[in-house]
Amino acid sequence: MAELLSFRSLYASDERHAILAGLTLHVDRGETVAIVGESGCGKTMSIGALLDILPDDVSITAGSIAFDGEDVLSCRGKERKARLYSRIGFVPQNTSDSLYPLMTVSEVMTDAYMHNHPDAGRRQARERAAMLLSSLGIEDAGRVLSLYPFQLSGGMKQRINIAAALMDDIDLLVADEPTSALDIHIRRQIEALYASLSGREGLAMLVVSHDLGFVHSIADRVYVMYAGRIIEEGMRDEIFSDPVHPYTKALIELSTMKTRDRAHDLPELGRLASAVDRESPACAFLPRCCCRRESCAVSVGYACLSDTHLVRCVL
Amino acid sequence: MGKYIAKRILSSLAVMAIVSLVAFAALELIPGNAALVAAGTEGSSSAVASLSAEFGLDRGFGERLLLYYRNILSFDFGISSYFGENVSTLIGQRLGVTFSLAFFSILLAFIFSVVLGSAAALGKGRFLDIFSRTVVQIFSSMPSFWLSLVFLIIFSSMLHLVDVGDYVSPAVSITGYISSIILPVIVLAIGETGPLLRLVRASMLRVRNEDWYRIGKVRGIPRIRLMTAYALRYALPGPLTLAGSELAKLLGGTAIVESIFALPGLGRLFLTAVEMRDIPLVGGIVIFVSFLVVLMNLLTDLSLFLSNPAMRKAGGMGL
Amino acid sequence: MRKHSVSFIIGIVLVAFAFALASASLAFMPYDPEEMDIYNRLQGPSPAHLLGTDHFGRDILSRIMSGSLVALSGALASVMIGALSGIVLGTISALSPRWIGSMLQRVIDALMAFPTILIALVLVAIAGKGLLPSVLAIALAMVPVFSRLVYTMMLETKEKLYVKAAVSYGSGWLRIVAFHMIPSMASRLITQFTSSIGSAILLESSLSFLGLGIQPPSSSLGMMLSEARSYVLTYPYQAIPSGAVLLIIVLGFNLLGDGISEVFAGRRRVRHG
Repeated sequence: MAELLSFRSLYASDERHAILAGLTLHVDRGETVAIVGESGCGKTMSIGALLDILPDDVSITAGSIAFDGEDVLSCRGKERKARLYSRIGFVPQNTSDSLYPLMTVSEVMTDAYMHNHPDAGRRQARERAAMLLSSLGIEDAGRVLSLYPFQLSGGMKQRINIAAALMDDIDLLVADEPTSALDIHIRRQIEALYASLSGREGLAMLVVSHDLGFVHSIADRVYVMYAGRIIEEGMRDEIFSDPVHPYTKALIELSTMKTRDRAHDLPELGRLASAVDRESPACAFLPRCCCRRESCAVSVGYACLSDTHLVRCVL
Repeated sequence: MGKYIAKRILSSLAVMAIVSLVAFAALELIPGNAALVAAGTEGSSSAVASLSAEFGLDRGFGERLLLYYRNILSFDFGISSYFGENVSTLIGQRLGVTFSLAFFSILLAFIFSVVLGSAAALGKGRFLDIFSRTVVQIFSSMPSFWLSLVFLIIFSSMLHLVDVGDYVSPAVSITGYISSIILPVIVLAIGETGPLLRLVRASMLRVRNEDWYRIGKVRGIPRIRLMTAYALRYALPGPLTLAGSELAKLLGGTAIVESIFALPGLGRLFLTAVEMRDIPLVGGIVIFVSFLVVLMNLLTDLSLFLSNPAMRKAGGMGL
Repeated sequence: MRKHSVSFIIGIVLVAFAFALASASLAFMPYDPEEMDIYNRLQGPSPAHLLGTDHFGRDILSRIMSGSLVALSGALASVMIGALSGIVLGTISALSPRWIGSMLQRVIDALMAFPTILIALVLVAIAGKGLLPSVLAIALAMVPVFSRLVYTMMLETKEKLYVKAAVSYGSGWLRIVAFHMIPSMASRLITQFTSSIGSAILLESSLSFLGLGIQPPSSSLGMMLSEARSYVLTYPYQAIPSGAVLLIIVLGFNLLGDGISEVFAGRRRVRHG
């Protein structure tokens, strides 16, 4: 399969510490890939690096990102950049300010499209928007288009964000935590929506999530990220039925537990962020690992369990 | 929606009532009464008595207060004891000058702050950001009268660019009008730029962290359009409100600049009134300015309310 | 944490300079600031008169020194009076029944919408010209800001846990206000206090400039500029020294205010993050 997107040992840091420490991953055409990990592990930052929306104080220090053979990070010039980004759709986290509050849904959806397609008229753009909305299961698309964001429910906003990302003919859809902050009912609907999108011909997806149930239902391949790097990768079933890294095991175990038992959750990485030296050759997971060995403090070994299943651990 | 507007108007009226009451109390405190001043040092006691009757000074407190409110409602602020003319006429004659100064300086400061503040926010921590904030900080620490003097030295006595002379009405000569108000307008604008620029910069910085801003960037909306049609439109209500209330404030705050540049405006009239203890004039101007202040703030709030779809449909934020 | 606040450092230096200048005037001045020397009037800087002389031949440096003492002490006094009354007023409106509080704050709203110079001028109209009335006038103009600040902060802290805890232990209101609320608001009050001194000095000099503040023969920076105004086209130098010193003092307090708030913000960030 042809490679569409690849990160090659990407390093990024803010003023104080490293955020990405040699991130390497790839997405093939038409494939759905998920990055999982706790909040603070750098998964959202990796999307930020791809889309050039990193926070001000974060900068990329080494490595490269290639999209369809083109180097993304060194891509200069408005035109080329615009053409590159018009092939990538982005669905943000479901926050209250993900849609511009002073415009109607129709304006929000068509504005960028009309800039990327100067010959398309307003009506044509609006028709396309309506068509996309109904294809995502929104019944009265015409009415929804004339509403303002504050009149929409969370699930509706999320669908509109997806539809807006699909306005251009994209090759890659990037989604950040698609199921966060949604109630269980809407979560099912969104999950079904992504499942149907992942089946679309020619559309690759890169999904960042800590919701393993969701990842299991849509992903072809999974990367497990910890402290700014990938610690285990493999086909979905390899990861879910045969996890090797202690961290992956713990994550999967946690996700199958009932909420009540979650009191013994792994301590959140955010609190440990300064304790983890992301550039050290030692295993970053060492302080929390259940089965560490002495050699883990010196270097980390790799193991290839199959063509697709790699793990960054001596086990 | 109607409920919000009605509420807002009612609260403005309440503020007006309170302010005029405070003004009334303050004027009662001014030593020496209007009749004595108007009659002059040579005035006979009968003249003082008749003037007292005319000004209503011989009546009781409650009656005077009632009279005071009735007069305000009919825009009758009495007769100036120093000029011997109707206070509303005097205000009317001077209002144009002060309004020109206030309006153009706020306009100038606003345009400048929006352009510079957005640019500074975009390049946060870079040269333009630090430079503009430093310059504005220095300028806003200068007393306006000193700045005026420095401007006079530079532009009038050294460069001979602007003739400082009498105020010229725009009806007489547009160029004369501009050259008679340009220096004071710039001085006032510099004073107003500090707070406005800070606010624009802060609002634009906040916008850059909004999700829709980053998403718009990813979707390929051109930077200029994203800055204007999206970010500015979203960030401007705050600075606009400030500009509105600053405009209102300036209508009563141009005294110093007017007196340096010898402009016949409301501020100088007020100075004269204070100097001469012209109580009806002091009172009239205070009431008039407070009326303008409340009205301006009401208008800015209402226009912002009507321009925001969310507030318009939801019937306003809880006030 | 931020390395160091540049504003804070420059502000401290300028303010220290202002205090040094003012306190030096108590011990030593090159000349008597009121001593006239009509033959040496309107001079530029020279070894005898470091900053030159004014239209009466008075030494400008000495006048600046005594003038900055007036400016600093006047501003400090008026901000202290204004801040104290504002704090009291804000506390009363935050702790009294809701309707009284909101009515008081409505009046504050109205006062805040006024140009400070207008408020000061009205007070001068009532109390007359001179140093004391102008100090009171400036104090009055400072009341709304402090009252509003204290009012909003108190409504916020009233809801905080430690205050509720103190209430449940049966501490009296006065005790709670003094030992719990005011300390927790100290950082914002100190910031506001510092930058208010800057605006108080500006206001004082404006009143003196208009001839409504301190009366001759005492000198104040604003009055010196007012006198220089008549010579602005013929002897422009006259307007420079006093204006520059005024600028330095005001800039110093403004920067110090900014710097203090940056330092406090930095400390907060470190504590929570």
